[in-house]
Amino acid sequence: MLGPETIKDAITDVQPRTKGVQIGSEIFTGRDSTDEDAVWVYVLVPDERIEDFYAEWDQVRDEIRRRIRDRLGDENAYVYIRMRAASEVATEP
Amino acid sequence: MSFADDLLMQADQLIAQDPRRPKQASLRRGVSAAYYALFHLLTEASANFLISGNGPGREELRNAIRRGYGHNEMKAISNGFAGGTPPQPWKAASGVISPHLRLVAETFVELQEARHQADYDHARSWTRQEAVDLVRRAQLAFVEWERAKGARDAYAYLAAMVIKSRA
Repeated sequence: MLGPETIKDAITDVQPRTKGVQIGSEIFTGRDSTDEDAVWVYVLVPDERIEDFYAEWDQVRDEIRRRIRDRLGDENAYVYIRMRAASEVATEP
Repeated sequence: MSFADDLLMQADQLIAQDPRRPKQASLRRGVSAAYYALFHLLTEASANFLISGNGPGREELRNAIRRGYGHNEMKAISNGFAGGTPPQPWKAASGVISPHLRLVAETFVELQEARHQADYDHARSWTRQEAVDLVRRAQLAFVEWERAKGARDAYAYLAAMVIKSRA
Protein backbone atom coordinates (compact mmCIF):
# COMPACT_ATOMS: atom_id res chain seq x y z
CA MET A 1 0.00 0.00 0.00
CA LEU A 2 1.26 3.47 -0.91
CA GLY A 3 1.56 6.15 1.74
CA PRO A 4 -0.65 9.21 2.30
CA GLU A 5 1.77 11.52 0.47
CA THR A 6 1.56 9.45 -2.70
CA ILE A 7 -2.21 9.34 -2.41
CA LYS A 8 -2.26 13.10 -1.93
CA ASP A 9 -0.19 13.50 -5.08
CA ALA A 10 -2.61 11.29 -7.03
CA ILE A 11 -5.60 13.49 -6.22
CA THR A 12 -3.93 16.89 -6.28
CA ASP A 13 -5.52 17.78 -9.62
CA VAL A 14 -9.08 17.06 -8.50
CA GLN A 15 -10.51 20.56 -8.46
CA PRO A 16 -14.15 20.99 -7.44
CA ARG A 17 -16.08 23.97 -8.81
CA THR A 18 -17.20 24.86 -5.28
CA LYS A 19 -14.79 27.35 -3.76
CA GLY A 20 -12.94 26.56 -0.57
CA VAL A 21 -13.30 22.79 -0.74
CA GLN A 22 -10.18 20.93 0.40
CA ILE A 23 -9.77 17.52 -1.19
CA GLY A 24 -7.66 15.27 1.00
CA SER A 25 -7.66 17.50 4.06
CA GLU A 26 -6.77 14.27 5.83
CA ILE A 27 -5.61 11.03 4.24
CA PHE A 28 -5.05 7.71 5.95
CA THR A 29 -3.91 4.36 4.67
CA GLY A 30 -4.13 1.04 6.43
CA ARG A 31 -6.33 -1.99 6.89
CA ASP A 32 -10.08 -1.69 6.99
CA SER A 33 -12.61 -3.65 9.05
CA THR A 34 -12.32 -6.72 6.83
CA ASP A 35 -8.51 -6.55 6.82
CA GLU A 36 -8.27 -5.19 3.29
CA ASP A 37 -5.73 -2.54 2.26
CA ALA A 38 -7.66 0.70 2.19
CA VAL A 39 -7.43 4.46 1.79
CA TRP A 40 -9.51 7.07 3.64
CA VAL A 41 -9.80 10.51 2.08
CA TYR A 42 -11.50 13.39 3.87
CA VAL A 43 -13.03 16.30 2.01
CA LEU A 44 -13.43 19.52 3.96
CA VAL A 45 -16.25 21.81 2.85
CA PRO A 46 -17.02 25.36 4.04
CA ASP A 47 -20.29 25.19 5.96
CA GLU A 48 -22.07 27.76 3.84
CA ARG A 49 -21.24 25.86 0.64
CA ILE A 50 -22.19 22.33 1.64
CA GLU A 51 -25.55 22.33 -0.14
CA ASP A 52 -23.99 23.77 -3.30
CA PHE A 53 -21.24 21.18 -3.14
CA TYR A 54 -23.78 18.36 -3.17
CA ALA A 55 -24.44 19.15 -6.85
CA GLU A 56 -20.96 17.84 -7.70
CA TRP A 57 -20.24 15.54 -4.75
CA ASP A 58 -20.87 12.30 -6.66
CA GLN A 59 -18.66 13.42 -9.52
CA VAL A 60 -15.87 14.48 -7.16
CA ARG A 61 -16.06 11.19 -5.29
CA ASP A 62 -15.84 9.21 -8.52
CA GLU A 63 -12.84 11.24 -9.64
CA ILE A 64 -11.00 10.79 -6.34
CA ARG A 65 -11.67 7.06 -6.33
CA ARG A 66 -10.65 6.63 -9.97
CA ARG A 67 -7.38 8.49 -9.55
CA ILE A 68 -6.39 6.58 -6.43
CA ARG A 69 -7.23 3.24 -7.99
CA ASP A 70 -5.23 4.20 -11.08
CA ARG A 71 -2.24 5.12 -8.91
CA LEU A 72 -2.53 1.91 -6.93
CA GLY A 73 -3.02 -0.14 -10.10
CA ASP A 74 -5.97 -1.86 -8.48
CA GLU A 75 -9.41 -1.28 -9.97
CA ASN A 76 -11.07 -2.77 -6.87
CA ALA A 77 -9.02 -0.98 -4.20
CA TYR A 78 -11.06 0.09 -1.19
CA VAL A 79 -11.26 3.88 -1.07
CA TYR A 80 -13.47 5.50 1.57
CA ILE A 81 -14.34 9.14 0.98
CA ARG A 82 -15.90 11.23 3.73
CA MET A 83 -17.16 14.78 3.99
CA ARG A 84 -16.65 17.08 6.95
CA ALA A 85 -17.77 20.64 7.58
CA ALA A 86 -14.94 23.12 8.09
CA SER A 87 -16.38 24.55 11.32
CA GLU A 88 -16.66 21.13 12.96
CA VAL A 89 -13.01 20.32 12.36
CA ALA A 90 -11.88 23.76 13.49
CA THR A 91 -13.73 23.41 16.80
CA GLU A 92 -12.62 19.89 17.60
CA PRO A 93 -10.67 19.73 20.87
CA MET B 1 -43.34 0.92 5.85
CA SER B 2 -40.76 -1.81 5.71
CA PHE B 3 -38.22 -2.50 8.45
CA ALA B 4 -35.53 -1.02 6.19
CA ASP B 5 -37.55 2.17 5.71
CA ASP B 6 -38.05 2.46 9.47
CA LEU B 7 -34.32 2.08 10.09
CA LEU B 8 -33.53 4.75 7.52
CA MET B 9 -35.99 7.14 9.15
CA GLN B 10 -34.50 6.33 12.56
CA ALA B 11 -31.01 7.12 11.23
CA ASP B 12 -32.22 10.50 10.02
CA GLN B 13 -33.84 11.25 13.38
CA LEU B 14 -30.75 10.25 15.34
CA ILE B 15 -28.36 12.52 13.47
CA ALA B 16 -30.83 15.43 13.66
CA GLN B 17 -30.86 15.39 17.46
CA ASP B 18 -29.02 18.20 19.22
CA PRO B 19 -27.85 19.86 15.98
CA ARG B 20 -25.54 22.32 17.75
CA ARG B 21 -23.84 19.83 20.04
CA PRO B 22 -24.75 16.38 18.78
CA LYS B 23 -23.96 13.48 21.08
CA GLN B 24 -21.45 10.96 19.77
CA ALA B 25 -23.93 8.23 20.68
CA SER B 26 -26.55 9.76 18.37
CA LEU B 27 -24.15 10.15 15.45
CA ARG B 28 -22.74 6.66 15.87
CA ARG B 29 -26.15 5.04 16.18
CA GLY B 30 -27.35 7.05 13.19
CA VAL B 31 -24.52 5.79 10.99
CA SER B 32 -25.09 2.25 12.21
CA ALA B 33 -28.84 2.47 11.52
CA ALA B 34 -28.16 3.80 8.02
CA TYR B 35 -25.98 0.78 7.25
CA TYR B 36 -28.51 -1.68 8.59
CA ALA B 37 -31.28 0.04 6.65
CA LEU B 38 -29.46 -0.65 3.40
CA PHE B 39 -28.43 -4.13 4.56
CA HIS B 40 -32.06 -5.08 5.24
CA LEU B 41 -33.32 -3.46 2.04
CA LEU B 42 -30.94 -5.59 0.00
CA THR B 43 -31.22 -8.86 1.91
CA GLU B 44 -35.02 -8.67 1.83
CA ALA B 45 -34.95 -8.01 -1.91
CA SER B 46 -32.48 -10.86 -2.39
CA ALA B 47 -34.52 -13.35 -0.37
CA ASN B 48 -37.71 -12.30 -2.18
CA PHE B 49 -35.97 -12.78 -5.52
CA LEU B 50 -34.58 -16.20 -4.65
CA ILE B 51 -37.73 -17.52 -2.97
CA SER B 52 -40.77 -15.87 -4.50
CA GLY B 53 -44.46 -16.44 -3.94
CA ASN B 54 -46.68 -17.24 -0.99
CA GLY B 55 -46.81 -21.02 -1.20
CA PRO B 56 -46.37 -23.31 1.80
CA GLY B 57 -43.20 -22.57 3.75
CA ARG B 58 -42.05 -19.80 1.43
CA GLU B 59 -41.98 -17.12 4.10
CA GLU B 60 -40.08 -19.40 6.46
CA LEU B 61 -37.59 -20.14 3.67
CA ARG B 62 -37.09 -16.45 3.00
CA ASN B 63 -36.50 -15.83 6.70
CA ALA B 64 -34.02 -18.70 6.84
CA ILE B 65 -32.11 -17.34 3.86
CA ARG B 66 -32.01 -13.86 5.37
CA ARG B 67 -30.07 -15.28 8.32
CA GLY B 68 -27.40 -16.56 5.94
CA TYR B 69 -26.08 -13.31 4.47
CA GLY B 70 -22.53 -12.53 5.50
CA HIS B 71 -21.51 -8.91 5.90
CA ASN B 72 -17.97 -9.55 4.65
CA GLU B 73 -19.13 -11.47 1.60
CA MET B 74 -21.69 -8.81 0.76
CA LYS B 75 -19.02 -6.16 1.01
CA ALA B 76 -16.66 -8.00 -1.34
CA ILE B 77 -19.42 -8.63 -3.88
CA SER B 78 -20.62 -5.04 -3.60
CA ASN B 79 -17.12 -3.72 -4.22
CA GLY B 80 -16.96 -5.65 -7.46
CA PHE B 81 -20.34 -4.39 -8.66
CA ALA B 82 -19.50 -0.84 -7.55
CA GLY B 83 -16.45 -0.86 -9.78
CA GLY B 84 -18.33 -2.45 -12.67
CA THR B 85 -16.21 -5.56 -12.43
CA PRO B 86 -17.95 -8.27 -10.41
CA PRO B 87 -16.14 -11.61 -10.26
CA GLN B 88 -17.23 -14.47 -12.48
CA PRO B 89 -19.76 -15.96 -12.88
CA TRP B 90 -21.55 -12.76 -11.90
CA LYS B 91 -19.86 -10.63 -14.53
CA ALA B 92 -21.25 -12.78 -17.32
CA ALA B 93 -24.64 -12.98 -15.65
CA SER B 94 -25.00 -9.27 -15.04
CA GLY B 95 -23.78 -7.68 -18.28
CA VAL B 96 -23.10 -3.95 -17.99
CA ILE B 97 -23.63 -2.63 -14.47
CA SER B 98 -25.93 0.40 -14.41
CA PRO B 99 -24.82 3.60 -12.64
CA HIS B 100 -27.82 3.18 -10.33
CA LEU B 101 -26.66 -0.22 -9.14
CA ARG B 102 -23.06 0.94 -8.91
CA LEU B 103 -24.10 3.70 -6.52
CA VAL B 104 -26.08 1.27 -4.37
CA ALA B 105 -23.16 -1.14 -4.19
CA GLU B 106 -20.63 1.60 -3.52
CA THR B 107 -22.79 3.00 -0.75
CA PHE B 108 -23.08 -0.43 0.83
CA VAL B 109 -19.27 -0.69 1.00
CA GLU B 110 -18.90 2.83 2.39
CA LEU B 111 -21.60 2.38 5.00
CA GLN B 112 -20.35 -0.98 6.19
CA GLU B 113 -16.91 0.44 6.94
CA ALA B 114 -18.46 3.50 8.59
CA ARG B 115 -20.74 1.26 10.66
CA HIS B 116 -17.76 -0.69 11.91
CA GLN B 117 -15.96 2.49 12.92
CA ALA B 118 -19.11 3.90 14.51
CA ASP B 119 -19.70 0.80 16.61
CA TYR B 120 -16.15 -0.24 17.51
CA ASP B 121 -13.62 2.58 17.07
CA HIS B 122 -13.96 4.59 20.26
CA ALA B 123 -10.77 6.56 19.67
CA ARG B 124 -12.46 8.28 16.79
CA SER B 125 -14.71 11.33 17.07
CA TRP B 126 -17.54 11.75 14.56
CA THR B 127 -18.58 15.10 13.20
CA ARG B 128 -22.23 15.79 12.48
CA GLN B 129 -21.68 16.53 8.79
CA GLU B 130 -19.83 13.26 8.31
CA ALA B 131 -22.80 11.37 9.75
CA VAL B 132 -25.31 13.52 7.85
CA ASP B 133 -23.53 12.79 4.59
CA LEU B 134 -23.50 9.04 5.21
CA VAL B 135 -27.22 9.02 6.01
CA ARG B 136 -27.90 11.09 2.88
CA ARG B 137 -25.97 8.55 0.86
CA ALA B 138 -28.09 5.77 2.32
CA GLN B 139 -31.23 7.72 1.37
CA LEU B 140 -29.88 8.19 -2.14
CA ALA B 141 -29.09 4.48 -2.35
CA PHE B 142 -32.74 3.69 -1.54
CA VAL B 143 -33.83 5.96 -4.41
CA GLU B 144 -31.27 4.48 -6.79
CA TRP B 145 -32.28 0.95 -5.85
CA GLU B 146 -35.79 1.72 -7.11
CA ARG B 147 -34.22 2.58 -10.47
CA ALA B 148 -31.83 -0.36 -10.46
CA LYS B 149 -34.06 -3.22 -9.37
CA GLY B 150 -35.73 -5.44 -11.92
CA ALA B 151 -32.78 -5.32 -14.31
CA ARG B 152 -30.44 -8.16 -15.17
CA ASP B 153 -27.50 -6.71 -13.28
CA ALA B 154 -29.59 -6.15 -10.16
CA TYR B 155 -30.78 -9.76 -10.21
CA ALA B 156 -27.17 -10.93 -10.49
CA TYR B 157 -26.24 -8.69 -7.55
CA LEU B 158 -29.06 -10.11 -5.41
CA ALA B 159 -28.03 -13.67 -6.21
CA ALA B 160 -24.32 -13.02 -5.72
CA MET B 161 -24.89 -11.70 -2.20
CA VAL B 162 -25.86 -15.04 -0.80
CA ILE B 163 -23.76 -17.37 -2.93
CA LYS B 164 -20.05 -17.27 -2.29
CA SER B 165 -18.02 -16.63 -5.42
CA ARG B 166 -15.20 -19.04 -6.24
CA ALA B 167 -13.42 -16.46 -8.37
